[in-house]
Amino acid sequence: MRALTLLLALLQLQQLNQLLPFPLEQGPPLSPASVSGAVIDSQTKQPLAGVTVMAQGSGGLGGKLIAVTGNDGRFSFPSVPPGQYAIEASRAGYVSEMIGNPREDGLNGPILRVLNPGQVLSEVRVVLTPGGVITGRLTDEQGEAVAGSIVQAFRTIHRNGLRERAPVQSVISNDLGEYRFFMLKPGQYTIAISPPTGTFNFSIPLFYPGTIDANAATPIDLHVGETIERLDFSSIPTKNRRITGGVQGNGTDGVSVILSPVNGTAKKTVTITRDNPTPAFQFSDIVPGMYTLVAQNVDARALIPLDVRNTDLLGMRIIMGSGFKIPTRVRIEGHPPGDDPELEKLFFNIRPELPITGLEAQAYSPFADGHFILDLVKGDYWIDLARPENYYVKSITLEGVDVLNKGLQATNSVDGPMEIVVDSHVGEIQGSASGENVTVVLVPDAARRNQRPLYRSTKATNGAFRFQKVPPGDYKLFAWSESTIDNGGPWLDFEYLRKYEDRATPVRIQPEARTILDRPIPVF
Amino acid sequence: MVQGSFFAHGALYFSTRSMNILGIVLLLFQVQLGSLSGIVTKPGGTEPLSGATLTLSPAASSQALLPLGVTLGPGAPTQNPRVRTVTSQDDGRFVFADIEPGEYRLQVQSARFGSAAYGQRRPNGPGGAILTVRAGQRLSDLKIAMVPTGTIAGRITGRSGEPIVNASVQAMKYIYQEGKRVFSVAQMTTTDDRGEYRLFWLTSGKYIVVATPRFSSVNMGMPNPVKPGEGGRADSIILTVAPLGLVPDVLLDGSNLVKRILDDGTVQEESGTPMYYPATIDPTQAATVEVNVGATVPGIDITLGPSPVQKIRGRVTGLPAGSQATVSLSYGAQALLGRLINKGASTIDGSFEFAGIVPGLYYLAAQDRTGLASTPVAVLVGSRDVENISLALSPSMPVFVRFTTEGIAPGTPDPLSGLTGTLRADLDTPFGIGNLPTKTAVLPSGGPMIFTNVAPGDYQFNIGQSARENQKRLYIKSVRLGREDAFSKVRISSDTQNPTLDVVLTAATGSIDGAALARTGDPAANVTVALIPANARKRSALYQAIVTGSDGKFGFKEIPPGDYKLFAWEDVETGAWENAEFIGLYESRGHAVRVSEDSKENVQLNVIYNP
Repeated sequence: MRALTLLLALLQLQQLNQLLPFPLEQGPPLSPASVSGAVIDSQTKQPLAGVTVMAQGSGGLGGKLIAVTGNDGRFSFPSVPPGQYAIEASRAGYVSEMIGNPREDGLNGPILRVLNPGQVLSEVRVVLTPGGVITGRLTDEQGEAVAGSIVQAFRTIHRNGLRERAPVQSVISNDLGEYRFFMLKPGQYTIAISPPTGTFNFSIPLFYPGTIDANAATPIDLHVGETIERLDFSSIPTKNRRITGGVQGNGTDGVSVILSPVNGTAKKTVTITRDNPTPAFQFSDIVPGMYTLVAQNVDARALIPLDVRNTDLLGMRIIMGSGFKIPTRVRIEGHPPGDDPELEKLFFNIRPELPITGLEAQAYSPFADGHFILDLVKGDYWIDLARPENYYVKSITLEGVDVLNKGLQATNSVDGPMEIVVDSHVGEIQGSASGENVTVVLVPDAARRNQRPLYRSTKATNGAFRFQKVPPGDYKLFAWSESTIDNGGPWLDFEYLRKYEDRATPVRIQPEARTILDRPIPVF
Repeated sequence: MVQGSFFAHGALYFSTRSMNILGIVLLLFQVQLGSLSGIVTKPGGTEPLSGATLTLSPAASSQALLPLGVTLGPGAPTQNPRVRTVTSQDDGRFVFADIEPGEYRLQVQSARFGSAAYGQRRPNGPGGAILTVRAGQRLSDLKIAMVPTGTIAGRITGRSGEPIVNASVQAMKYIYQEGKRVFSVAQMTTTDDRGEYRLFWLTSGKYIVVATPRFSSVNMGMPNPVKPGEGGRADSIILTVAPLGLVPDVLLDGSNLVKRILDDGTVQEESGTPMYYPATIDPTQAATVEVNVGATVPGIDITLGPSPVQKIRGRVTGLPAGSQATVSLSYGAQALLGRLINKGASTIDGSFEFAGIVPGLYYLAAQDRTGLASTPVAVLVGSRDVENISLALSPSMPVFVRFTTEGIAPGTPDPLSGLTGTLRADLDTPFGIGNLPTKTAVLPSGGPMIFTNVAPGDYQFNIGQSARENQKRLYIKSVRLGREDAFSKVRISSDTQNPTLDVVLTAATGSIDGAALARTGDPAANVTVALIPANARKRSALYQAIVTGSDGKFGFKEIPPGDYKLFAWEDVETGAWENAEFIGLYESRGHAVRVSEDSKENVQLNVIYNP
């Protein structure tokens, strides 16, 4: 570690020298490292010639070294100044690869190799996968080419058990309306364009084949080296919609009015104050589609679904403070009734069932007597305990309905109260999986699958795993090897879990007890 | 019919101008409002364009040309209540109703086709015609066609024909900077996995195409194209002053420098230098690609090969035994984002060498610790090492500047307080001028301005244009070095004794009004009038240019006293009049005019029509 610090200091000194008219005194040079290896094609397993291998010193230090593979696929850096490097192999038509272990989060980004003085890194094996290509053409309602639009490719990835869209490439449609994504990894993609809108460059993305609803986007499965052509966007709207309106009711000061497509993350925001002239808000250049409009300030909110497929919506009125009130009472299992300072330490997240941009989860904390009042706009919600960690939610009921597992449907104000019981008596489980680098996930039994805090995941590097502070009850253990899709996949997706359900290992967690599995669990 | 609207406009007008006029007076001035209508069409001129934004803004009678590199977006927000916008309908038609009489310019902007101005001579050109609306007049059937644009397409490959992916490709146009040719980036894109590119939305004209490899593992993505009529890119303000044309910052900050391990294990340093079509790293040798209106020019292919970095070697002469000289090398281009590319080398025996030099323009100078200094030298580095640069040391000296002022009212606080001066090397450079070596000095209170350690050579003296509040701007009227006129050029030779510049500054300026006349003898609207110094052609500050209004009139104010020539061109590239070769063609057709303190000249000019 100390050697590395010294190295970095030296490298910085070298850079400084370039800026100074006179070189500074330097110590004796450190003995160089060397790197060599070979590149093969993942499909043919044959050596790959003409691959550019670039070693780039991290943080802009140390410069860049380039070697190109010959017919034997081999490359060699006989003399590399010690330091931290990102080493990448690239060739036209192949997916570029960083040399080293993949990043844990499954995303692209520099993988740094530390090369120590005198270190010889030989027989580095790099496998390049032929890249995929997706092309298409953009035309408008009149069939004319749409040039200059931003076209983005998103790859479906999984993070913390959820499916996500990660942008991987962005191109511009040319004068013929054509776009081309290239050197893509195999996987599932969605394509979106930003249609040209008025004088502003920002617009709501339109997903292939032509919807602003991200959930309605057609996923495209791209295989190794495959070229998918003619993913065309036709009839791109040239006439955009306009939405105007005003805000009324309590607390109209400092209101943010947020417009977002249904199931989309893009948004346009207008902040208004009481002094604003009417109409208080205006959104122009809106691509036709289904939207959600959220208006909110510190003490009130309103939510309105909007259909702007065929018409402008002008002169809308948003009434603030029209939410539903639900009185709620919290108690801690085993604690006597009455004021309890422990209750004030609890924080609950009220999370909308469908993610709506602008309507993030709200946090509530009860008074010492355990009561608080929910104030919600119409919709379906889930209630989680955000903190502290040593408690879990045992039950939530409202007028005899199990809100904890079925969710809260806010459709009108109720007298309530909603009853929440939390408990601190948890258990733990430990065991092993038959394999290395395994993603182990603890999944609650079918009745409790909607309770996200009950899911636990870990990366069992040598096969062993352990989950602590687990609420009691029945669970199943799932284990995915690294070769399965990224990080074990979207295990919060019921459909995905169902495929592995019968191979999972059922377990029971007892309060104040440790469950130890005597046999390794199977890995998928 | 227009009565109601008149009240709205009229009331606002009078209430701001004269609060105490009785409302009833308004009724005595019934101004009849006019209207303006027409159609916008797509490139080609027949199909209507809907959804385009039309902006009608009041026009000054003549319009000053902006300095090089400054562009105003057509959609720049404005607070002027008389600026009106409408959107073209499905049939491409638009109407501005209830227009106050006056002169206007009409611009159109579309998300798809960029912008255009009514009556504009060429895209990105000056002006656009002025529309005069008289009381009650209805101007109809105005036609604005979006400009059909062209495309340059091709393929960028390596020496063995392999596609170069993610190479940066630019289409550039020549423009002028202080009379020298430089480049402005008109459009840029990147290559795909086949090495192919398309540069589109190009207005008709001649282009230089250049490709640059990008040695980076980070995919920087495709840049957004510039829409026609939007002017240069924001970053072209920097790029236009690069003497070797385009100098991407990857070259300036060294991030495009790589060390290539060759097959035999040797290391070759490369710069990733831009390659100009068809196959040169020297922009002055680049071929132009002509794009006609709406045309596609395919096959503009460029081969990128290894581009080794070069060395600059030379000798410092006149170095006394036992002394040590410092040779400094500075990149000729404007410092980008505050990064100055400077290198220094010290020498005892007089020889020096700079390695790892990216092709481009550099300035070299030497000095030692005893006060010897060399004249700065411009060095253009191309595809081979530069040898035998000679830097001759001779005694450097302080240059003193004494000021006298004219035209300043008695009792004015010291008009020279805090004045800055610059002494810029006057070097002949092949392409652009870039970042010429310049010394700066501040006038101390109670003493002369002093430039220290000035090496013998040619310079130009200028004063800083600091914005000093409530003070009239000062202009240089004359510069003398002893008995020599040093207005255009300050020549310091090694035998000059105590060089002292006598500078006369004046706050008294003259003005010229006039009109441009067409062949027919009618006023010539929308033509460019340039005022150029009769003799001191190297003093950029003396040049002014303006576009005439609909009445053909123009006016120049605040002209430093001196002899000038006036020209009016129907259509001319901005800045061309500072180019000696260009002005040589028209010299005899200029109208000579002498401007003295507080003079007001009136001139009639015949317009020069292009061949």
